[in-house]
Amino acid sequence: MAYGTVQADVIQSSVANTSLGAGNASIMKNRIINGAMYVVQKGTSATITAGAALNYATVDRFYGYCTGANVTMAQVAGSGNNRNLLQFTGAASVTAIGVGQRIEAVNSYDMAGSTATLSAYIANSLLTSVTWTAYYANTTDTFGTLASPTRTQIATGTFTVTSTLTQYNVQISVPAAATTGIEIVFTVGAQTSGTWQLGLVQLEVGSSATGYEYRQYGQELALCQRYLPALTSSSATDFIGNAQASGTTSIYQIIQHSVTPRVAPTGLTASGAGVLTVNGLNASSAIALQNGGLYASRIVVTTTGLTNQTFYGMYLNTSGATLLFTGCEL
Amino acid sequence: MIYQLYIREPNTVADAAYYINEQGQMISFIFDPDNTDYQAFLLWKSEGNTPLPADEGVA
Repeated sequence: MAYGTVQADVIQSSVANTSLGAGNASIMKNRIINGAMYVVQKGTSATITAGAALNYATVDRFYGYCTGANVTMAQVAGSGNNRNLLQFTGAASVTAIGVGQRIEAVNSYDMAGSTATLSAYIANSLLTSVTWTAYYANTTDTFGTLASPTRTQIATGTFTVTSTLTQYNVQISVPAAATTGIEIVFTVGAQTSGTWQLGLVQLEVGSSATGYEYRQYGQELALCQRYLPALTSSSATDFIGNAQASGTTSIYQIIQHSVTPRVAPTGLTASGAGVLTVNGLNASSAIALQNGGLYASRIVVTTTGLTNQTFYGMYLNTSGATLLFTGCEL
Repeated sequence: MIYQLYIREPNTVADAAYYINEQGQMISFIFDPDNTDYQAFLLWKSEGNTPLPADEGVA
């Protein structure tokens, strides 16, 4: 080739049947966050109370709900390509179980007016029908509650499933109006026993199911923390920063969010009232949110023996203890 | 379950509450209409329940 000559390929044809920014040709193609069910900042198992609100109790970003009777929702070990699965364990009198994820408008806006493909690995040891439904929010990022949803159905259908974990996919024509956020929901009926498992859930632009997009754990964790800023202790003395005493029983700590949350937190869930220790002093007797912010939040910790205006190191004192800043989910 | 009100600086009236659930988790929330715990708190109050009054801070 002569000097100064450029040989180029047409990007659109470099990956068969795809366009730049779609399907196999893109990274971050999966609009579902934590579709591989890796990230669990809240706990690996929880009881979902029948008829109650959407419950973001276990695997990050996925809510669960049920009717008729309580069920267990848990992250479990998978098999094959599925390192982890989201599993519901049925119970007598259960009439329905649902699991879903709400996708922010900024992460799904471009899907409006196009064909999308939903894929997932599913197994059910009792039932043979799993219903999938896609919605868009009536107003941007506002999907409503379980009792009073504010969303419009895009499409629905069923997968005929077995007890063997198998990948299913479906194409969805996303209407032009769906610029306000998309919600994907899977439901089953009377799961009165047995288990229902999901894994590698993916929603992508295009008319074919491409390979699941494996993201590195750190990336997936960061994506999840936009909706749930959290600290998880890895030891019995996990330093989380300094705090300043106000009086002898209250101490205030600023916690910087490593990822900017979607909205400022409005709540705090501490895995126990006593999971914080003031260096050289006692464990906490209460932990509460003082201020929630996009970049940092402030908590107030109650303990004893403080010296007013003095700075102290603060530790999470139990391996696995968590501080979860809530109110950021959709 | 019982709710304990608390006052956030620099406010002078209770604008937040906390409770401990069956799993021993300590859950606090500010009075934000979008917060689901606050919504549950309002429902609990509407059923005739009364939270513990706020003292200084969360002590």
